[in-house]
Amino acid sequence: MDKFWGSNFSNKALKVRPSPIREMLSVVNQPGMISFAGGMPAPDVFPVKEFHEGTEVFLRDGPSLLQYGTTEGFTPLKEYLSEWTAPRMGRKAALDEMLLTSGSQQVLDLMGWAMIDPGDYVITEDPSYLAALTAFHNHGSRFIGIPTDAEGMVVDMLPEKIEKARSEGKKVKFIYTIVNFQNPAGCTLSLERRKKLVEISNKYGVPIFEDDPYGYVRFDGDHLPSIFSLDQEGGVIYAGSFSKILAPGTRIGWCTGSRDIIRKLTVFKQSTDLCSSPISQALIYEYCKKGYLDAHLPKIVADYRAKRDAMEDSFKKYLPLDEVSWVKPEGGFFYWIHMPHIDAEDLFKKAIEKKVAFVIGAPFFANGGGEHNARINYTYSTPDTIEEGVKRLGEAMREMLGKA
Amino acid sequence: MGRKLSTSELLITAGSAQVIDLLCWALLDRGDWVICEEPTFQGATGTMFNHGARFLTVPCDGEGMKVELLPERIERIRAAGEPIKFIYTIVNFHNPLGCDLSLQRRARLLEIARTYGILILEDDPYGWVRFEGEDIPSLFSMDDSGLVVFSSTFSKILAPGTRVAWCAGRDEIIRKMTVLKENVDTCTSVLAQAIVWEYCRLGYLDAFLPRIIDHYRKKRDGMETALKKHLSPDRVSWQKPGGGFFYWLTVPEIPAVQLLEKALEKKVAFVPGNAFYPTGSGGLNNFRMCFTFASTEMTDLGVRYIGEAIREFEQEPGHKKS
Ligand SMILES: Cc1ncc(COP(=O)(O)O)c(C=O)c1O
Ligand SMILES: Cc1ncc(COP(=O)(O)O)c(C=O)c1O
Repeated sequence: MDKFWGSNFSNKALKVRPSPIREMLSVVNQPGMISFAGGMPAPDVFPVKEFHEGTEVFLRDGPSLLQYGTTEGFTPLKEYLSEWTAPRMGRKAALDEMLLTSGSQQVLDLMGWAMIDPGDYVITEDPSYLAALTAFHNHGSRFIGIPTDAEGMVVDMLPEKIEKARSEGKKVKFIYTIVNFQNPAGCTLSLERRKKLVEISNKYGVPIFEDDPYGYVRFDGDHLPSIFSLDQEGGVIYAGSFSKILAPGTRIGWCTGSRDIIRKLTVFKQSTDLCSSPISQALIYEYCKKGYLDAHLPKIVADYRAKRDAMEDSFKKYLPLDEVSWVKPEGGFFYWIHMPHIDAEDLFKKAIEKKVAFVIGAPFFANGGGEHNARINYTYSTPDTIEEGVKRLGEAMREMLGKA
Repeated sequence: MGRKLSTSELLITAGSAQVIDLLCWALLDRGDWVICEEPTFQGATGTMFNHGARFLTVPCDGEGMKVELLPERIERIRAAGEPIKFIYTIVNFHNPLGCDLSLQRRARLLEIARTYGILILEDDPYGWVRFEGEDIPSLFSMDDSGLVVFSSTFSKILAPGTRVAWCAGRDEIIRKMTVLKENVDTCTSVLAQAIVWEYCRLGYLDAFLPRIIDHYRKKRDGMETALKKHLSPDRVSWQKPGGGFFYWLTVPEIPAVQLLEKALEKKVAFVPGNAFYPTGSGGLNNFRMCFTFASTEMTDLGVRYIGEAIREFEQEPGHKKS
């Protein structure tokens, strides 16, 4: 049927590849497989009962919930979020500085619409969130990768990179950073670097896209101020999400930024999906309004902290310690491990034989790299399966190193 | 659909607005051509425009798109070596025209699409809302070469607040749209999908649809009565829609945009016709009225005010009398 479809696909469609993570799901779903691959919350921490209480809203406000909603988002939920996020944002955002979206994934697409022309450059961390790279890439973006270490993006490299790009006539549109408990690297941008980043952004007039789905899932230490709160010039757009602090099935996220950018994103949202499901938004609002968001979040954090600890202990117990290194994440969903003498793809094959799955590092790098890295999720499994899975992973590593 | 679809031929989306977005992602490169009716749903052409589309527009009459005009227009663009990617058509109870694409024209449209290797997006949010007469077979069901993507939605048959819609097409295109959707919003609200499914599973979709249709039929009748009562047939013309949501009115010699200003003073609103012309020329003496939202009493009152506005307009100095 190439006559009709294949020959008519756009260049984007010809190039686009299914996410390797989603592709792996068929393997991962084999019986007996322990999966550290996805980035999913644990199903048993979902506040099903509390969430269900909100359904009475249908009887009360049914007709208005079932109507088209505004593109900008359900006002009561925006008001709630403005208040709830104020400590992190440094102030209460005005309603027209916020847009509710269909997951923060949609913010990535909308930023592509608003900012990227084909051939433009986006600065990202190396590694970075895969679906962000693809979303920007679909809009024609190219990437300048900045390495990360235990303190996040090595921001000192930015001025030179920006100047070099500009001298080559490249347009740098924004800096995309996942500031807390990065996906996949697990690292958090230090306070000092946050300040530095804002300085650089202001100096060069390059805005920052601060993507923060994991920030509220912190196990140890104090919350760091958001980049948004450190910036005085309106050059930061912040994106948050209910996916990790409530449930991804709601598909509701939000973004906060200056009116100019929010207005642009809103117009593009009009033509991508008109509005996010008012049903989802109203159910979330009911849940929040009753105080459950605040009441339940510590339970989620405690559950994931225990799992992170189980994974840390299991790593120390079962992995070949002279061949693997990692930074213990202070929150979020992922470990990122480095194995200088192991090819991650080969390890993946061996691990699958032993019925444990993870995600190889390479796809997270826009311009190559990551062959010796793996991303390991701990939120989805139980502490027992974490131990068993890491044990299998350790065996697979030892076999590859010829130390079995 | 003419048959039961397999799940790999179906994709659930965030409204049928998203079907248009995803199909554009899958097919359009900047500068590619899309064929559409003129006038047409401005939400669709707005999205296509964002994706860099250029529009080859085809005028309509009471039987929908004048498909006979297509071959010559297609060949003219082909001769310039430029790609035409798909035909966008609203087959039933057109937005804004209210008309159906006739069976004969459907068959001819498919023939033309097949001859030229051009795809079709059959956008059908209103087809289930038929007040009288027989359903006309969908383009999708009449086609056996796989070139049609059919799109419909729960917006008009259940509630737009669900933001749940679907599209059907060959595996190849559905798979591409699915992959592209991952980067746009990952998936459609699982809550909304599950609630819609429960509603359907319990038999309410089938049970309630006749009531919705009945309700809207009464409103359509209410508007028809009001139009006949308050507007003079030699000043205003329209075709009574057999379903859907809209009346399309023609007011020769009166600029609809200025008429709207007058109407707004009286607190009645409609959409002037030029909004539905993607190339920006036309519809100056037309406007669209939605009859499903207002009550019959409000409709009567609103149409009366529009009638008054038209008369006032004609009495203004400077208006040339025909
Ligand atoms: C860094 C990052 N941004 C955005 C998202 C998208 O989240 P959602 O669309 O569920 O809000 C994710 C999800 O895994 C993520 O890791
Ligand atoms: C022709 C047409 N297509 C698509 C839509 C969008 O519908 P949905 O609510 O499913 O996004 C509409 C809504 O008015 C419409 O008239």
